[in-house]
Amino acid sequence: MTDWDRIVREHGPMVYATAWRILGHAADAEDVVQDVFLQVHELHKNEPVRYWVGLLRRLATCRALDRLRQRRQSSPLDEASLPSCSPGPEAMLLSKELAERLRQALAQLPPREASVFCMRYFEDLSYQQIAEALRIRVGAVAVALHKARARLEQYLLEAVPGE
Amino acid sequence: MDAHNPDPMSVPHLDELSEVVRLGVEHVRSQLPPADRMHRAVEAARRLGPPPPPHATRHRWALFALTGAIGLALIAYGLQDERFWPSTSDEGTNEGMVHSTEVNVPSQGGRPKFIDVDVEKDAAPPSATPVRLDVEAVSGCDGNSGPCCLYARVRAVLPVIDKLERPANHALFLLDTSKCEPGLALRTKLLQVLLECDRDIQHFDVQPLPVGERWYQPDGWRPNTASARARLQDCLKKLSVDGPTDLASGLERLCAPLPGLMAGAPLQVFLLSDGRCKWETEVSDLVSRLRKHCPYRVQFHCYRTGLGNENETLFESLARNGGGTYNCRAEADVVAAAMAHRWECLRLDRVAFTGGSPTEVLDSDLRVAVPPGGEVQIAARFPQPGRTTLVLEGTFCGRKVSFVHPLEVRALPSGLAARGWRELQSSRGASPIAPEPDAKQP
Repeated sequence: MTDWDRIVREHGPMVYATAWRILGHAADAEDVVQDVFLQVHELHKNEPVRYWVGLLRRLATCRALDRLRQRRQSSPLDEASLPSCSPGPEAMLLSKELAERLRQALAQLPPREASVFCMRYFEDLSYQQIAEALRIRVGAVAVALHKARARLEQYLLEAVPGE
Repeated sequence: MDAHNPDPMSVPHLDELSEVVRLGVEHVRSQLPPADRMHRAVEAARRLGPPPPPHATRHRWALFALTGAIGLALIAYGLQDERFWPSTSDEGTNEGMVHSTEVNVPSQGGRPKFIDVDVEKDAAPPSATPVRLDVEAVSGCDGNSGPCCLYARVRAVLPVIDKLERPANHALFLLDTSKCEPGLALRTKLLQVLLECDRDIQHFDVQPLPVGERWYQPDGWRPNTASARARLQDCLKKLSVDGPTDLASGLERLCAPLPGLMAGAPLQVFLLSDGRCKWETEVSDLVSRLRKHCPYRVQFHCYRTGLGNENETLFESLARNGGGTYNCRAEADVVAAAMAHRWECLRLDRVAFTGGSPTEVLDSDLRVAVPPGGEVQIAARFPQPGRTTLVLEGTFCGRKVSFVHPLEVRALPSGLAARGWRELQSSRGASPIAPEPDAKQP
């Protein structure tokens, strides 16, 4: 097995899962995987990659958010997914609706805030890991996260007037 | 979530989010990406790039050979120069050749043209990726005065890591068709998804159990194509369900050469059953006979669609050569389960409670490979309500992992918790945790 094979096999699922969580759409996530690995291949031609996980995670998050912004106006049908122990169809529908709105709100955030939010709450990364992946300071992570939370809350409350 | 590391900067706490954001985030986190699409995307990405290291190695050898050839040419034409040959004494030609290559082949630092990707050094090893278990639990008294029951579902949120080894291209499915459990439809679905998801299976055959002489394709292997899978489905719809399965007669067929497969060839065998297969001899006899007489390098993947653990020892013995035992209990689990044999899975070695002094503990998945997104069911009975801690220990990617999760056993009546307990208990034949191995089948 070649090193390229090994890189894709080891990190490809992570790239796909990251994109899928942000997009909630299998075909879009597949496109993001292609974009990310094409881009990383080009980067890798010019200079050796030191930290594959960080680079791939950053690219996956950024490309997925780009795609999310592009499709903001259209709302793709969600594909079949694997729900965990479902709490009931009504609650399931409600949380699914909220997830879709959250994605729409993420598309409206500034790129850094959106990336930080996704890495923190979708990928469970620590402040330090986010800072390394995005090449920013830990303090900047905290600030971006704080702003992202506030903005998302505002967007979502505006979208759900009853709340 | 992570009791070991309470640092708020390292572990995200969803409580810090407002409710409307938290609900959305929780939904996103609870969903798992579709495994087949993920596999497809990764396979497509693999074809994007060139293979760097063999490339580099080939170039290195090419440069080595080229330099040697140049050195030879220089010697042959008498163009030796002190700039290239520091020693111009009466050294032999061979020594000169060796010297020339040593001079001309660039050192590690002076090799700007080659791209070496040192994955082992730079990338985080798979074992360093995060592993999380999500616990959903319900507790309460059985009736108004019964013991307190606790029923928990633990979902493994694991990184999806492909196993590095390439599986065999031939796959044989031993399909349990017993009618004692309404799981045949699930097993048939699993068989279909396994064939669709695992692109390395190029040829397959199906043998329903109990067997007789009913091979689906008695004279050879089917190619794993869409039309062949559709025909298989038509064929399986007409299959009549039978009584208890006779696993021994199914395995017996593996002790003789199969048509179209040379002896010594690798073979994947998928045993799709409810976990209650029957046979007449000891497990050790069954397995040793298979090992002795089977002409193939067989890897067993034992899939269980029921909660029964009667075949635990058998499955473990069969899967010792690199296969595994996996659960698939509902249609929602089929896709994740179908890829379980290709992924690194969590293997639980110990389930326990600290505090609360449970009188009995039942689990559904000890020593079973739990794939990313897979579930483990745990039930326990406590003499009285109070706080307890669920402790799970296991292995993932060759690394020991352990999880603790605080729980509260409530005193209020709960039909759900009691029912969860009873279902698990009846499926396990009323045996508490760490049951006796099934040394002999009835």
